Amino acid sequence: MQRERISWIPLVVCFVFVGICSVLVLPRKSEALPQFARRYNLKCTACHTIVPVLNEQGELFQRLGYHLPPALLPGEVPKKLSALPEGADWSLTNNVAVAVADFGYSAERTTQEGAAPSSTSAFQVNSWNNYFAGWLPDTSFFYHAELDIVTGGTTNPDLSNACIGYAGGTVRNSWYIVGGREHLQVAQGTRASQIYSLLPNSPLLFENSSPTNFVFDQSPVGLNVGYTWISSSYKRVFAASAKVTNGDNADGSEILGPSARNSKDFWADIDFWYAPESGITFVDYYGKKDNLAGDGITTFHPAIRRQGIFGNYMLKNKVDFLGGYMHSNDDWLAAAGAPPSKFVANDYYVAVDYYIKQGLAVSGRYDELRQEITGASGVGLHSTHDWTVGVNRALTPSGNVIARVAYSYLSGREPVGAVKSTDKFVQADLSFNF
Amino acid sequence: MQTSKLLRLLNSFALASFLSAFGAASAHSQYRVFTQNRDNIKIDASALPANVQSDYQVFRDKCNQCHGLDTSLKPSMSSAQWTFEVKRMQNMASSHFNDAEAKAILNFLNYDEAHRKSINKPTAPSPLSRVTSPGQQFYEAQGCDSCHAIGGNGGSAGPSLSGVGKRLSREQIAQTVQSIRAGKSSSMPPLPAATTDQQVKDLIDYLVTLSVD
Repeated sequence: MQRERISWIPLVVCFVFVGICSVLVLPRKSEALPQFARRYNLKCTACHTIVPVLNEQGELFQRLGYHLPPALLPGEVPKKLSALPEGADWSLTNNVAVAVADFGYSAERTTQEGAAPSSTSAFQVNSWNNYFAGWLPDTSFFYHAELDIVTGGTTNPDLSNACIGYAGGTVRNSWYIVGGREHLQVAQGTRASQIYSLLPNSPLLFENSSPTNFVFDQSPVGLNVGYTWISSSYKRVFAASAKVTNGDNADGSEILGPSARNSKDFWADIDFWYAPESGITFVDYYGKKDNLAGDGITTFHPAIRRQGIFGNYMLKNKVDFLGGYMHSNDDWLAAAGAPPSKFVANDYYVAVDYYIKQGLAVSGRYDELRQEITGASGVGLHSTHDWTVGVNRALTPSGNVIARVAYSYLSGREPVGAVKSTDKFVQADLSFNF
Repeated sequence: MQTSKLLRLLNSFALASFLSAFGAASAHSQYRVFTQNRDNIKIDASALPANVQSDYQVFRDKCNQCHGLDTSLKPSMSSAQWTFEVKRMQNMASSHFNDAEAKAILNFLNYDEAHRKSINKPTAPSPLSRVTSPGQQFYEAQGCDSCHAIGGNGGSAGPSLSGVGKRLSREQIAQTVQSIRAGKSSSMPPLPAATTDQQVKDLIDYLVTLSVD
């Protein structure tokens, strides 16, 4: 495979852009912090490795219904969640983060068999999200809403999270129930099983659309229950959660028109954290959704299945080794009248995040997706490979302004027509959390 | 050839810009004042004894990850109380410091207590100019005001005690104080082991009198 030379000019431009912006935006006297950091008088790095990736404390904070996990001395009787101090008084500024934004420069060159290569580049606002989250004063109810104004460079206001929950039990044995609209896989399980990573794109198994158009990046409405057990000193955590949702379309879009059949999803995960910052997660997903067959005309109602195992090991709080495997097995119909078959995929990724020092990390990831449609309509087993490398640097001590440069190279054939394509992607961006 | 030179020049400029941005972040960090996490207290590490400098480095690296250093540099506590506090922090979910590092942090805090804080501590007012109850004297001697404020005076790490005598009954206050004395509170350092029953009673008597918000 002959690699094409990528122009240095976009890299030059993005470096200059990041450099100038960094100098311009660095505050001298003060800096803003998102809602929870404001409320608890903590830095972003109290709950994140580098935003938005959560560390152990951030994971537990979320699972405890936005209560900070207090220090547990050996033998100490754990307090009830309702007895934990709530931090500063409730106020709008302590509960709203109005601009969690990411803007930067990206350049992409795509080639596809049978088509002319195309190149795109843009300075743009990649994302602009607003958060409203916390708990109702003097209760154990918590809420979480996320309004995305810009996603992927496109202005398309979308309420990707809007849910309310109740957390009960004690610090060491807690449970929660959440109802409403929730993202399917933003922060369930250990770090390796989350859609967020230090690189601009998630692993393929989260982002890739299967021939049945299913992606995990969607926010259906439903009910989510979870249980968390924590050992003293937080060295071991066992957690499990299950979610039943009245799903969206397979591609994550809302079902707006009449549907002859219900769309349903079931999601379960079992997680175990051991030692600081390391863990393992098992995930199971099952969904039934109306879908378009391979001819693009016929509607059928496939079952969509995903089983995955993910793990990470943080070595000496410096090097985080991450990996994941996911198996897909979906019903497939090539066209009306064609014999039913299966879409089968096996996807794995390995990644390394090296935290050179606090607020500076270098990341690399290799991803391989093997896809096949079985039966007479299949074109054989085909693979897609994706290499991504990147650098993240927090520009403020609190960790709320982050510069990032990343490059990825993707190459492979899709499983329906076996068309080969390559994609080179460079992104330099700055993210702000206010 | 000229294009190549131009690209090299642009690359150099870009790299310089990038590095300068990183450098600027480091340089600015010395002077930054947080909106919430204020770091107003400056420690001149070079002025510390050689053996304390490494302890200070550990303190700065570990404690500064989650909160401003003022949170630790402002309160004044006894060695036993700091020992409790460091142990408590060590048991936080994301505080990755081992026993040796905890010892280094404690060494620095004790050194800081004995030097910088002892110099900056206000001298005790003359008994003739300020009449205080035994309970108030005990409260101040234990450094409770490092974390708690009364009438706006004192620290903010813990809840304000203004009006506590109105909000809580005597029994509730007594129960809380006894719990702290016994070391059963996860958020408060224990009272010294030598604390007498009379001192505890005096402290309770004093807290009960705090009825003004």
